[in-house]
Amino acid sequence: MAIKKELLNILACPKCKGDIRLSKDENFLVCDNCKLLYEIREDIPIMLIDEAKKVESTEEF
Amino acid sequence: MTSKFEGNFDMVAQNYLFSSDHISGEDLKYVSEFFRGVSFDFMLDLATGAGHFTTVFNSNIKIAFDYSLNMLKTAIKKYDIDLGVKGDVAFLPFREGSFDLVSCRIAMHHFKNIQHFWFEVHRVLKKNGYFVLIDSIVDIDDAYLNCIEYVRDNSHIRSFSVKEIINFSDGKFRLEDFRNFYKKHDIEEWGRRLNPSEYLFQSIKEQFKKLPENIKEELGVEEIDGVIRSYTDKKGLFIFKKIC
Repeated sequence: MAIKKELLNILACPKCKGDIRLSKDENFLVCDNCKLLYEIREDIPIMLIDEAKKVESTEEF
Repeated sequence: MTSKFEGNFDMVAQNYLFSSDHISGEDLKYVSEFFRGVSFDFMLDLATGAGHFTTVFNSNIKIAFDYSLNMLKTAIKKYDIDLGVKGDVAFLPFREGSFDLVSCRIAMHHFKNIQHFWFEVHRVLKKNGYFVLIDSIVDIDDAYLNCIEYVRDNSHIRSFSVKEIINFSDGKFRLEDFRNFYKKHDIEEWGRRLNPSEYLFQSIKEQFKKLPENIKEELGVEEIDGVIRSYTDKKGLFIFKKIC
């Protein structure tokens, strides 16, 4: 069950409520504003701020 | 990192799939009838558990949301759900005004940050969207039942009174309908659902024995040959509509 585009459009970062996007490898949802990566595990986005991966830059993702 | 809350429910997801308290009930029939002929575009079922509540609504898109990954996997495997999302109900990962229906059944008593939860439900709903809430309610049994629930399940925070729940809606929702349902719980099934130790299970039954007589009567506690067999609690069904 891949995440449909219409579903990506309603998802937001739980922290800033801003835009998120699918990472290039489609393993994460990326918040460029907070520089957080939310893992997608077995097609289920893990949208917990505490479990998100903090990165210096989201450019490579 | 796995929290106490997540761990509790991750280990017992299958129990909730087959739980007689969750899989059926007069509340589900009532909601199904209330929304007969109504079709939603986007629905969000919060703290979906095994996903039973998603089945009573007709919606083009159904999103199931839970803190437990195993619960989500169980719900998705069983029911026609478009997306499962793991998260915290106090920090919903959705855009403002995304849903025309938000539902939540037999879960609010677990929520730590109740004000944030209500704020977030209001935020993600479209104007005139529905919020359908079902949860255990208390009145004269308040302190006693909340205490027993906590002994059984340490992720239980608090069951609220009808008045408290209506106050949470804080003028931003209109209460379109309310119903009270009585739900009889078989102690063996209810008490063992979270896989307690035998000692804990016996402690839960002892808590019922120690209740004052008027509270036993209020809760319909059935005791046969000195053994607690069942009790009956109250579920409140609230159908709110976002008005501003």
